Amino acid sequence: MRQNSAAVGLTLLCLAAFALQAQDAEPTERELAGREIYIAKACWQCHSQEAGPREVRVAKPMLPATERTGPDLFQTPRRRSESWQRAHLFAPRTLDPHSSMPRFRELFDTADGRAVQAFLKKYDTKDGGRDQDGIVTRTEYTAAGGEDWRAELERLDRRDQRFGANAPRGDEIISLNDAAPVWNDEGRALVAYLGRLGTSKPGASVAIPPRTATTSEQRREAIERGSKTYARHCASCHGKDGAGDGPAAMFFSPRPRNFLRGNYRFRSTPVGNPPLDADLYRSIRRGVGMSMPAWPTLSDGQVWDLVEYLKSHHPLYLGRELFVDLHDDPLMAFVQWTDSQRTDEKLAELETDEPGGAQLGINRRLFSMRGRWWIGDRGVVREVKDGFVFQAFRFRLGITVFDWLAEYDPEPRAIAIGEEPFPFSDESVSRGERVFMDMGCAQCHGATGRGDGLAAITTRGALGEILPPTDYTRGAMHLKGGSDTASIVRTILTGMQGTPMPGYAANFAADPGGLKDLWHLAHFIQRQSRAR
Amino acid sequence: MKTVAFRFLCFALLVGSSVTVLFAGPGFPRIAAKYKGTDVADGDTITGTVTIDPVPASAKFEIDRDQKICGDNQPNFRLVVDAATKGVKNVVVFLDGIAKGKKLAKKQSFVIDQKGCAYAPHILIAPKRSSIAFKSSDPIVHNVHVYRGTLDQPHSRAEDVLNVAFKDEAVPEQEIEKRALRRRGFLFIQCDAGHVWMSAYIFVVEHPYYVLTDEQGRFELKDVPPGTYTLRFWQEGWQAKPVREGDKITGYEYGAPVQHTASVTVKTGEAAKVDWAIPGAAK
Repeated sequence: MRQNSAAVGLTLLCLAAFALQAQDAEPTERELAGREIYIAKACWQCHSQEAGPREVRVAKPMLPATERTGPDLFQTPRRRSESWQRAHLFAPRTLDPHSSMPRFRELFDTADGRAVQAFLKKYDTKDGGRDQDGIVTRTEYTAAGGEDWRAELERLDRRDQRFGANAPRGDEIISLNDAAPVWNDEGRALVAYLGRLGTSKPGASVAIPPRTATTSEQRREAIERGSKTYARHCASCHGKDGAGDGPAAMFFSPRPRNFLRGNYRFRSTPVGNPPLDADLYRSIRRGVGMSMPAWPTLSDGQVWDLVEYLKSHHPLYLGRELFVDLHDDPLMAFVQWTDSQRTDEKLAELETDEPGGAQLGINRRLFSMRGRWWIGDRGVVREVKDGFVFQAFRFRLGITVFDWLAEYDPEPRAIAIGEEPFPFSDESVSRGERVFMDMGCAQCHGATGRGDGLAAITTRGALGEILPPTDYTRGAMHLKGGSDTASIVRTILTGMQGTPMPGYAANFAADPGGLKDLWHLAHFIQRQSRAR
Repeated sequence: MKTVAFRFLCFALLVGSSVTVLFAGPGFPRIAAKYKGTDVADGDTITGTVTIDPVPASAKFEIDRDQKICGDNQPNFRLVVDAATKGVKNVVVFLDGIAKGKKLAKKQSFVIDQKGCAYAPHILIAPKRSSIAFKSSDPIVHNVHVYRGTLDQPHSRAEDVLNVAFKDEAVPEQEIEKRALRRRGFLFIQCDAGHVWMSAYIFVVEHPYYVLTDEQGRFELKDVPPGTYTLRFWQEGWQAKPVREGDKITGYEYGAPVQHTASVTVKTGEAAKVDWAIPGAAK
């Protein structure tokens, strides 16, 4: 516990240092306007703005004298993105069902009813059309004259998909996701001010502590604990089943990750391979770019529990070996394991009878999984009601087996990137710029890294939507794989699964010496993004 | 809907514990119990021709970037018809769900080249467990972005399995990435580096009874054991509608694949013949 709070404390101290640095710059007019709104809306009544030290010393439970109604806002921007702020101020309870934060709908432009419609879309089928905040029902909306809201939404969705080409530039904070509620001028000012409170550099490297759960029994317990942490902190965006469809998901662009697909972007493994556990740990701990907050407040153990829980969503992790063995026909395994009538006796019989096993499309290897995950792991199953235990397990596994499509290495290993071979310097930056051009990065990212290359308007995401290349000049927060040098090198080598960004590891397989160039390149990108 | 369908599937599984044949979602060939390769002595041949009449008009692919390498336009390689016979090239013909037959060739190697901003070959049938290498003969930036789709929805981008880059100074003929194809299925390849017309398909197959039609639209499946089978035809669909943003083309929307199934009975010493005349005007 002491270690944990020390770690948190260190993080906060770093944040404070960054924040102080950032405050050197003159505040903009908008930020000053936001401050007025902060005062006018009486945010200060519940939230303090004190730097870390007091927070650092306070372990849970908080002592009465240090208690406040809302969290201290000094560290807010480090942990919370603009998208998050939007969700939080529009509908706080989509993010945290227990939040006592009031709604601030007056900070949003709802004149054309878009926000209402978007919300209805989400809650139309749930709770008789009443959203979780109890704001508006479909009936109420229809009564107000919004007859054709579904068609309108579809139109907006289509427009939303095309929005990428007009993505905002520079420090202009506006909604990226046009179908979700958008700020009005007051809201924009307030969020600019909140961003001012502690703007810091994201993506500092994360130390990965050793995990505690190693045996299958321990992992099962970790999944159990992880599911609770998940429900508390993650489900609001990623959805209670991990499908990326939580109540707050609509505020984010790109949308929160769908864990059922197992298609993770931030990896240290080669393209087309699943991430290592450490990669998942890093993403949770550090956060991702503009949307996914960092989680410095979770303990090491909690983050590891979450990693185990996330992995339980995908057969890839449930039985890596199983799928290597049965890769040609995972459904056979599926049938076998979902047959709840088969007793252990029968299984044992099959296990000892190799030819019989082969006929059924199974083999010894499959059964060796039993003790570890397939039958042994009921952590996933247990939540389900009597009699349908296996059905539900099958249901979940069924989706994922059908969706499980990645070619992968049986034992994925991290791509070795080594240590930073030389320090950051102007010379390195200019060499990096040459590498940037030589490698063809400019084709998509543009000559200066503004994301306006020749191919920029053609790059598409998983839904076929236009997914513009990253504009480095928008700031370090936009380097989603992390803005420290090693992270940038890693991102270039591994690529980003689910996006057009390819992995370059294969280009250097024959010429490991060329890897040096990537560090220059990373320095150039850091310069363009003002990470250094 | 998906949910309901899966629930139903689960229920079906619960009832019939001896289910050996399953459908892996819409458009997927049936997954039978493991395919068994043996020596086929008493088999015979299935032949046939795929034709199209009238030949639908298909626009060329306009090219608005890298014209030096890619040319100003490319013919619509999604529908290649022989002028004399009206035979359609590059139609995939296969026996759906065959459980036993001749052995699948092992550990073959294939290469897909990027040449003149087109993939060669455009459609590849590769036995499972063979390996595939990608190379580029073009002195410009390409990437090979491989997605896994289904026969009905070949262009889904939901699942990507590989995405490698080719720098513009890449040594011609150098194979950049070599991959073992571990799982059967259907792969779609696309270039993200602005060359939106580039596309290719790979069928990773679990049995040897898959074949592509030739220039005249003819095909031949040899050594099919006697029995009755479902013969499936898959043509990628020739409609390619450009999506424009201002005067630039940002992508192509492809029409749905054109498919056909036929029942075929093979007897020893009696070659079977199945033709398919694609209704050209309909699509």
